[in-house]
Amino acid sequence: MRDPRGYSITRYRQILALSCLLAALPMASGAIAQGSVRSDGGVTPVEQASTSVSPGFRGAVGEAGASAARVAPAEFARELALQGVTGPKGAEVIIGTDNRIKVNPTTVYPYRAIALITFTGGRCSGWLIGSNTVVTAGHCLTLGIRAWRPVGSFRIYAGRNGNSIPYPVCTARWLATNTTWWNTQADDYDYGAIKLNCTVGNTVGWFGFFWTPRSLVDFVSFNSSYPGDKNLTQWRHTDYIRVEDARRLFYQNDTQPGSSGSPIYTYWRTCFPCGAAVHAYGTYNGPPSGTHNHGTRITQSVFNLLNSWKNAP
Amino acid sequence: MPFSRDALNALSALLFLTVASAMAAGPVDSVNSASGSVATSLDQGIAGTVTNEAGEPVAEVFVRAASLDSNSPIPDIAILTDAEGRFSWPLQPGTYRLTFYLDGTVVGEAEATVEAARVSDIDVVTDE
Repeated sequence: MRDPRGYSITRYRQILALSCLLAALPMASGAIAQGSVRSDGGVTPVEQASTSVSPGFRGAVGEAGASAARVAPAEFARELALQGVTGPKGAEVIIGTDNRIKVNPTTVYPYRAIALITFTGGRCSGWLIGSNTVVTAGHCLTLGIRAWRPVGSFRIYAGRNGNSIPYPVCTARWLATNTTWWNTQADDYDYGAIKLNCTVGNTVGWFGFFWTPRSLVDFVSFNSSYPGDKNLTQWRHTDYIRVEDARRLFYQNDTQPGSSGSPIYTYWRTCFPCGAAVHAYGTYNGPPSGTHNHGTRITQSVFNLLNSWKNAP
Repeated sequence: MPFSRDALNALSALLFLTVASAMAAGPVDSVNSASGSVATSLDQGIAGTVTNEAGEPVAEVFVRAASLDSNSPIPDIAILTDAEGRFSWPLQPGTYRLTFYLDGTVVGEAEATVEAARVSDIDVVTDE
């Protein structure tokens, strides 16, 4: 059928179909790229990784290889005030009974590759993915939309255990997050990284991480973090992935404010510990979040960005 | 069904723009952005100061937020007061209960409503 000027309706249907197809392609691939934003204005080209697993490393020291430093008395007295970050037991991010177990010693891999992160106005957790790169939640790095927390205030303590600091304390060279978190603060893009001014990862090791289009429901979920209701000590808990969506994993690992940025890790083929998500939120109104904590899932685009930050000089 | 050439050209242009904008929506994120700025103040949420009865700032007070009406998730971050007793809690619009802890003890409570692009100010005097 043609219109009076000779145009085929079929042709316009073809144009429409092609247009819809082209528009849908980036979404269907699930690989809409995320860009990098850095606090120093530097550029990190986003690498399109050819693999889906970034391997871990156990570190260059034995399990008892650390020589723990002690915090100076005056400093420790100040830090003891951090006992003030005590939340009530049975708070909303402890789901049911508090089943957390204290990690002691913290000089055992992979716990020594988990870090306490402090900064002006708060504290979080993080995990090493390279010699000088720590993954954490985006909200640990930014204060509202398009604004960094003070970069110079960051201190990163790998394997901290109360007043014992077994490894060198690192500061931040730059902070990085993805453009969607930077511009919108959408909770399913809540992740970022800290580039350290040290290479403590060569000593303590680092986590592997991976992405997969497969369902991760029923995979075991390990978590270890520096929760605010404990005195600068690391606590772990094991559960399993109970619910998932495209960009989030939901679980019932017990956490507290301060656990943000810690790893949700599991076994993936030969990779262990292998990060699957970045813990970021406790429970809140409505299913599935009313009964689950959740973190930002490592998708292909998240993987590419983490890998790019890891490999950045 | 009759089609004018102009209408068809317009349709083609519209489809082209649709495709172009859809493709731009993805790749726009692949461009590195400017570094932004260091926050000097909160642009949305609850901010305030914690002092004792003598009017002195209280540092390292843990400020916990619980939503009373919102479906927005609350970051699992530990927010603390600084040396001047100030705190900044970036939060989505809604009503929240703030609980203030010092040395494991509740030293204050308050409720506040956050509106879009607004910061609610709360000053708390601890009862210790």
